[in-house]
Amino acid sequence: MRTLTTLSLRELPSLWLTTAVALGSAVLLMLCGPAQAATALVVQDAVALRAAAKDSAPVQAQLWRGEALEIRGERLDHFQVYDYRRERGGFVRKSQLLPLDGAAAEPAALLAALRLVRQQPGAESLGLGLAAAYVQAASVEQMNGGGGAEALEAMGQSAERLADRASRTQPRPDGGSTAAEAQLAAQLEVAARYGVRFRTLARDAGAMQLCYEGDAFRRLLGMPAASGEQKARAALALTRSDCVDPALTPPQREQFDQWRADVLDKVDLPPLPTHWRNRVLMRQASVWSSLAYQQARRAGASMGASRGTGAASNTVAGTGANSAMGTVSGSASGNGASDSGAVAARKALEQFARIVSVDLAEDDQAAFNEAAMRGNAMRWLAMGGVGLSDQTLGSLRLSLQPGQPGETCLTLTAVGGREALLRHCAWGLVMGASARINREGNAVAIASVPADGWRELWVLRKSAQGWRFSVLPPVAAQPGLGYAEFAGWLPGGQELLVAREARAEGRYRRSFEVVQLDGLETKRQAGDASMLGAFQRWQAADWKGATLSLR
Amino acid sequence: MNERTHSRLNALRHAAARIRALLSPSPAATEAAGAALRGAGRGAVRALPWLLGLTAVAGAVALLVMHPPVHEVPRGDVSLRSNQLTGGVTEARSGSLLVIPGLHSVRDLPLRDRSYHPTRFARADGEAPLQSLEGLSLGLDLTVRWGVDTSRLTQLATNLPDDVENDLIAPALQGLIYRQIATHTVREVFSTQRGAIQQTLETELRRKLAADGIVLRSVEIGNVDLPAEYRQGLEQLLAEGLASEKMRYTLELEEKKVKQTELTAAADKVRRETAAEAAAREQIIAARGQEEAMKHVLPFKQRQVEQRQLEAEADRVSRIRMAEGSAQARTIEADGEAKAREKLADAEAYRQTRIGKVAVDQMAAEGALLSRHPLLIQKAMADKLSDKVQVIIAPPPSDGGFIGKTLLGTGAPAAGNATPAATATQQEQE
Repeated sequence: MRTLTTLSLRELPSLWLTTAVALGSAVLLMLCGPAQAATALVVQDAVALRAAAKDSAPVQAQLWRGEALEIRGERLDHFQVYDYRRERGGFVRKSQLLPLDGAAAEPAALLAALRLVRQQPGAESLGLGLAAAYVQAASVEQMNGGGGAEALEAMGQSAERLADRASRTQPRPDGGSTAAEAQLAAQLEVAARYGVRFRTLARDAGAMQLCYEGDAFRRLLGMPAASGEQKARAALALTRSDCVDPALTPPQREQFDQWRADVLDKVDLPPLPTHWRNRVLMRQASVWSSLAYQQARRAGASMGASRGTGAASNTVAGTGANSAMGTVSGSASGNGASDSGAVAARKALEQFARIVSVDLAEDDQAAFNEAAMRGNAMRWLAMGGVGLSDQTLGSLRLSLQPGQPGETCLTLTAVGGREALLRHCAWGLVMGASARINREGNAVAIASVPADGWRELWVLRKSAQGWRFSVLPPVAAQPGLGYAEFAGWLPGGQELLVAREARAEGRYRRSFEVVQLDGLETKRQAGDASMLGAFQRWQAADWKGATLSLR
Repeated sequence: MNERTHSRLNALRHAAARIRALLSPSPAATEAAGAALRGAGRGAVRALPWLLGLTAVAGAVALLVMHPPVHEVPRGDVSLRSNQLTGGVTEARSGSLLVIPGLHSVRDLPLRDRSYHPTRFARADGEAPLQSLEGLSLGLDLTVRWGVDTSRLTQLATNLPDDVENDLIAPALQGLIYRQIATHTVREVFSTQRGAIQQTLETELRRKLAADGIVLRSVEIGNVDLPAEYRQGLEQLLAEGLASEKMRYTLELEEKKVKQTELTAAADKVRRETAAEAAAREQIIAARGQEEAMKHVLPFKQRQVEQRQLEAEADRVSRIRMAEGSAQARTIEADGEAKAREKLADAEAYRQTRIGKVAVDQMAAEGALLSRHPLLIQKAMADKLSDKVQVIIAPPPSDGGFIGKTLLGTGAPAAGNATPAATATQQEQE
């Protein structure tokens, strides 16, 4: 023990010296380390990370465009790099890397490179890498200025394009993967490393869709330095209809639609170029129409729930009370939600009316059609058409009363008669104000909206066996988006005019048809109303004045 | 009174003496002056009784003004006038009392309550600290509130000592408090028995002082001055007690918080359930709407399918009929073709026969020609070799020599031989 103590005492100066040298070295490394370490971005796909500085050396990993590496040295035509994600070092050819040091690491240079790359298809992950490098290199003032807004927009657009590419890729039937799919998967992984998150949505027929979560666009919307056009693009990207999760419950969907409407309302429209203003207006029309449906549906559900199952007795009493009122005595008995639904539907129509159709780009035609279909589906709501009503149509009285919660029951009786000629209950929003009877008094047409953006035409037809109920859908396909709209009666009581437009099962179709009342078969049809003589002669004036199908 | 009168008369005498001394220096003048003075002296002597009377009256008046024989009753006190001769006592609570010196004596007694604040045992390290049951010194800050028994004022006017607090209350209090405190521990004095001690002191002191005509209103115990070490320990103990008390309240508070949380959670649960119920209902309604829309589409889809089936059937029938027609047409075409071919074959056979006959005739003619001109065989062979070969027909030399000799011109050409060669060349050129 004494010996050990003596030795320790003797070696104390050398120990201190060693400690001092070690500490000095550590400080030196800390000071010199960051200065020597430079970052590089991989500029090509499937770049080999080799074990040695020669092409014959074994490949340790495959690097993809946009990945960030740390340069630790160079040898011949290779950089010695270290990949922190894979925790592996190696050599990469210099021609396959973009070193971010010196002038290349300046924010202006990075922004210039980003401007070049952001438009190139397939280089989205590299764009994300450059945008991330810009965010790291830029000062606070630059980040809050126009450059920061441009970088964020580029980041968002790159992520969005990457997601769209991934959504378009169809899996092979044999389950194998192509080189393009491998590249896409790797680039998605690179994007995830930069904090870009995607949502996966299950579409119909088992297709998967990837949607960018939108963080960069959200930040862009909050930046004072962002231009109006940038904010419009960000708002449009955040409110894409195809990125709405189909699995959302109605309350969640209403909340999400309200959020989308708020985001779009933040866009300052007047300074925008016409085509960008059109795009925002079209999106607003779609979103407000959808919101109108959700709110009207909620009002109907709560109304039905509050009335409960005893609605039948109320129906009888209500009908009796209203029968003395003569002609149209219906009144919207909805609560605040249905009022807000009417307001939303009116706003949708207003926004649609502000669209300058002559300045519509070819790419916007699909969005324009969608806005028109959604707006037209809910246009009777804007006119106060939804809700319970009791109205007289010629010699008939049509009353709408609640059934089970969310259900609306239509009853057709003769004026002065007690027995119902026809009674039908349905789960759609029945637009009472849209009811029209023909001159012969043997048919009634009324609009119903059973699903968001899907408006069908109910036809009540008097036959030898009594009144019959039949429904004309927008198209004979899986319900998607569309409307079948009453456009007028043809004399004789055998035919009616119908405007139909739908996008379902991947097909879009718009037609103006002469439909036979018996069986609702189409007798004649045309893509333009002016090409059908019957439309020119017998179309209803109120339909022509209010419909969006003649846009 | 008499002393004052005498002193004033002496002063007058001294003044007259000084005037005489002033007037005495000159004999003549003195004489004259003496006569005047004598006259004056005589006048003065004659006026002296009047002067004295006047002075006495003035002195008496001044004396009465300066010391009026009245006693003003102080505010809040009662004045008791005792007649020294009769021993009667007159009580006055306000205004003034005539007090004739030598005849009356006045005593003021307080009507208001007074506070006595003893200081001797106020501090543990003070003059005469109290002793507790444990023998520890402690100080007690006492306040005794007392008053005079107004029903016994007449008696008290004579019996009550001048300094009531020190002569009456302080001894009584000391006699009580030392004994009382000595029966209690410091802890009891400090905290638990404070009220009881105060009550006991108050009761006993009230009884004791009542005999002397003092009404005890209250005894208040203020600060208890403990020994420093004991104070620390006790404070710690009390702090712990307070902490435990506080803990009890804290626990009660926590229990109430738990109950509140439970109630909030229950309300939240009900709210969530209601919201979930509403959401589920809306979802069901939406699903039913979708289902209904699909149900409305299905007949049309069915009709569409049937129509497509019918169209397909019609297409099939039409295709079959077309195929049948096509097959029949092909058969007819084949028949026609066969007949056509037969006819063509007959025509060909006829043509061959005719050609054969023509060829036989031509061969016969050629045979005849060859028989006449055998060299034509070689020419024909040479023509077949190539079109580049020029053929010259020359007759064989008559002498049996080289055939080209005639062409080379080695000998004189015979006129007869030259003619066929020229003919052959001409034919070749043609």
